[in-house]
Amino acid sequence: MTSPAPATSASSRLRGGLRGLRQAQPPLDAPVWLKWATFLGVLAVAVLVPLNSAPYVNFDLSMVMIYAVVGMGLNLLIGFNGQISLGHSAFFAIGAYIAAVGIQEGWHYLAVLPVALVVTWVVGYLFGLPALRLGGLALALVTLGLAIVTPAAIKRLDEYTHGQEGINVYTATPPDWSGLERDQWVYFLCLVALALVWVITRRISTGRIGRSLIAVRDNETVARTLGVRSSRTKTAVFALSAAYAGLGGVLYVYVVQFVGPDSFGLVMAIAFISLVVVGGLGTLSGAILGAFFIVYVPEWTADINQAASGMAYGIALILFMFVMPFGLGGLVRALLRPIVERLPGRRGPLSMRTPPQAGPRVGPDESAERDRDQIGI
Amino acid sequence: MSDVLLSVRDINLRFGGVVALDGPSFDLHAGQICGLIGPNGAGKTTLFNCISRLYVPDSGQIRLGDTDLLTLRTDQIADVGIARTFQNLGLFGSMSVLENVLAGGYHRTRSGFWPTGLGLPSVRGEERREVAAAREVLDDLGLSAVASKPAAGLPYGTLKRVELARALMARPRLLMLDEPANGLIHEEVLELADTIRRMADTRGLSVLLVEHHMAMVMKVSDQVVVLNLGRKIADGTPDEVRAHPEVIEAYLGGAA
Repeated sequence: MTSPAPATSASSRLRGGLRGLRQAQPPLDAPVWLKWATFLGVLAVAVLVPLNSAPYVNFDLSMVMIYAVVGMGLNLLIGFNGQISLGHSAFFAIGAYIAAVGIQEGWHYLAVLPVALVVTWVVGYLFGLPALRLGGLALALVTLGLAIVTPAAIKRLDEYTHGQEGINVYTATPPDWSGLERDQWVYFLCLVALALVWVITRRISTGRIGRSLIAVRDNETVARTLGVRSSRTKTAVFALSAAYAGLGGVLYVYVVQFVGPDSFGLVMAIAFISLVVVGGLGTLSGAILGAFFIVYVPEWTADINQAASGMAYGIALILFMFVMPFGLGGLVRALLRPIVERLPGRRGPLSMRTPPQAGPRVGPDESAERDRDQIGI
Repeated sequence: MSDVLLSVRDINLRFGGVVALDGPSFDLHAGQICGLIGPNGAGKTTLFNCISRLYVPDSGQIRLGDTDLLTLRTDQIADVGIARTFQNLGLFGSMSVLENVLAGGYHRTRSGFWPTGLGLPSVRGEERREVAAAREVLDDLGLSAVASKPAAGLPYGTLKRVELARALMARPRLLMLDEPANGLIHEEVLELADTIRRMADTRGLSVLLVEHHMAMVMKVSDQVVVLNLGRKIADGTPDEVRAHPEVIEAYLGGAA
């Protein structure tokens, strides 16, 4: 008589499910064979789909991969290091304009890539130096300012950017040996970029560096007593995420073949934030799911009603923060966990990574004070 | 007597009008355990925070060996050989126990952003060695069973030991423990005292120990420093300090 019958009514099950979605989801710790199977499966699909799809599908999927690259950088910055940026559309724009101007000047389209990476890394580093001292709400506002100023700055620099007119380029033509159409060739360029970024991000988010990022996010004061020079760490992550956004900008030019100031305004900044929130902080696959969201959902809603497309981001932001603060990445983990935990061949968790304890922290920078309260000093 | 490892001289620190530290001085010798005791508000944790460079004293001098600690940044303290724990735990809640302990090795290890991103073999080798070292420390403190559990949600006494493990992972010369017995039951306290003694003896550590649990301090310490209202009122062996009139006064609460 000690154990009451479990509540089985639909509403209580729903409530339980919703609570689960609001909880941080540690990694799944899937067995090695499953990881390889997933990897090979995804690879096979990713290679076969463009060979059997219409050009517009391939361009859409290329955009997904481009935004996923940006999302992984933002995930490192916001999810792992706890620094909020609303302004990475600016670095995206810098990357895109370097590519467009460079290609127009007769550079090879792959030669502009390293230039854009280095420039956006340096700009991110220099911007991050003072900005990251602010932290919290102030950092969010400063980076928001960066996003707001970007279209105006592009118009102002019309000598190079051709202002409102923008720049048309014809680029990323597939080499003859490949036998691919342009849309397929561009798709594979984006796929290679995303794969590299995935591997690098994965490495940086684990091990010594990954621990230092999370340490700074969870308790900066304690991190410093362990030898983490938090200002350096934050700046390095900011610069890296800026370079990811710059890479996204270059790939964008390969796909769209046009840059104009109004492509890189607040709408893009909001799209990036929606990507991060919908995808979920602290999971790499979340960045890809979030990228699918910001490419496809506005298209679907526009089919229903033109005015609805703008609403999609707003509604998604509200809904996800209320219901699923850990995003689709967290949802996937919650759904797969009961299955994965029954599988044979798990080696037992060697390392564990959980997303932050709550959604992004937007608020005045009380972190140092809170850290101190928390540890009693 | 052995060499002086930590030397604290005339530390003064005020917060607004409140005098937190009023010129205490003492020496800690290499390989010894020094208990730092005193009533609440005596300035023990404040002194800890001065030594670990979280607070900047108004005047005074703190040296570790030949190093003037007051010229260093907070993040350089680990490098000169100081590790500490915090009164109310300074663990990273979202990390596993193993990862928390691994974080203690940060200052000794060198894998940077670029080598990590490129996945160089040196990075992997270092991580493997670190994981092995961390498992050894966890084993030593009887924490192997919880190694993969997230730190958030474990019992308080376990977390205290995890924090001690993280500090040991830093392989310090000076280990500063801020109320390590806080929240432990009596048997655990005695066990902890043995552990601390063993660490000091086997690893050649010096320990600075802030603790309210008097039996433990008296049992484990070679030297006891007593603070009251920011001033040092006694300094000596446990027996000397126990018999000191001012200490009895401060603890038994002589009429003001």
